[in-house]
Amino acid sequence: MSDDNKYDVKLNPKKPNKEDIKARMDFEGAYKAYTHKVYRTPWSRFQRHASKNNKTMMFIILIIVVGSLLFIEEEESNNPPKDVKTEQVDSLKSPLKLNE
Amino acid sequence: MFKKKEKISEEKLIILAKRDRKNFRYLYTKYYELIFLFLLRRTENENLAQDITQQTFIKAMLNIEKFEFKGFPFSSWLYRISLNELNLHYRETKKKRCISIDQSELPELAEELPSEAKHLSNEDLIKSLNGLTDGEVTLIEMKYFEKRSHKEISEILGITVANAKVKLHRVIKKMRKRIEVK
Repeated sequence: MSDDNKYDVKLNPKKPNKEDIKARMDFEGAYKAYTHKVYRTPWSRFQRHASKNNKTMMFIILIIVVGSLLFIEEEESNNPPKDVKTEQVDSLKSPLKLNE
Repeated sequence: MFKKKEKISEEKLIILAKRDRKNFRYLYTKYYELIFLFLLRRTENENLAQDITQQTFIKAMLNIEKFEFKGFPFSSWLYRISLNELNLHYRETKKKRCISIDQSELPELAEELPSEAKHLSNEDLIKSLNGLTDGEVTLIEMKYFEKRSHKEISEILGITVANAKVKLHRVIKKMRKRIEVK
């Protein structure tokens, strides 16, 4: 698009009457669309009442955190880490090597 | 519900709408014309302006819980939603953005430009608008065509007053440069 006609400029536009604008108002339609969007999925239904569900949300988060911690603990107790045997040399017990 | 002609504060209307969305009707009736005319200016199509206005109010109903009183009016919040919806429309349809100008609004804009510009025709002034981005055009529209204050512009765009002033200054500078080059 060239720079000279990037926008569609209209001079002295006509303004509709107040009555025409009033005739276009449709709150029922907007409300219907709103309820349709809000109650479409269980998640959006939950979100709709998010402010009232703060306690429930905190409880769910707490259960998730505690559950994941228990799961990690369980995993660790079932699969203990393998001991790596390291060779230790006691310098006192090892034979002294003098000049031969 | 409000049979007596009592003045109910905007804050109270919002609280009522937050409790029950059916009460949003009062806000819808109060601000419909404002938003419709705001969008009509930027679309020049009454049906399209009606659709985007409706979308704006649906979005407002969905998100009214997030609206908090921070000293700016509810209308600014609605203007911001409608601007976002309008930008979304132009991005999706890839159509040319519309700018409606009343010829009586142009002299004020011409005063901001260099003295030579005063002798330029309206067409030249309009052409200089074509060198601006969407955001810059929005600023010019709000300040010179809709005669909004810096405070109101800042509230609608969600920026500080100082930032709005700086941005406008830069846009005018850009337009001046474009006119001088021509």
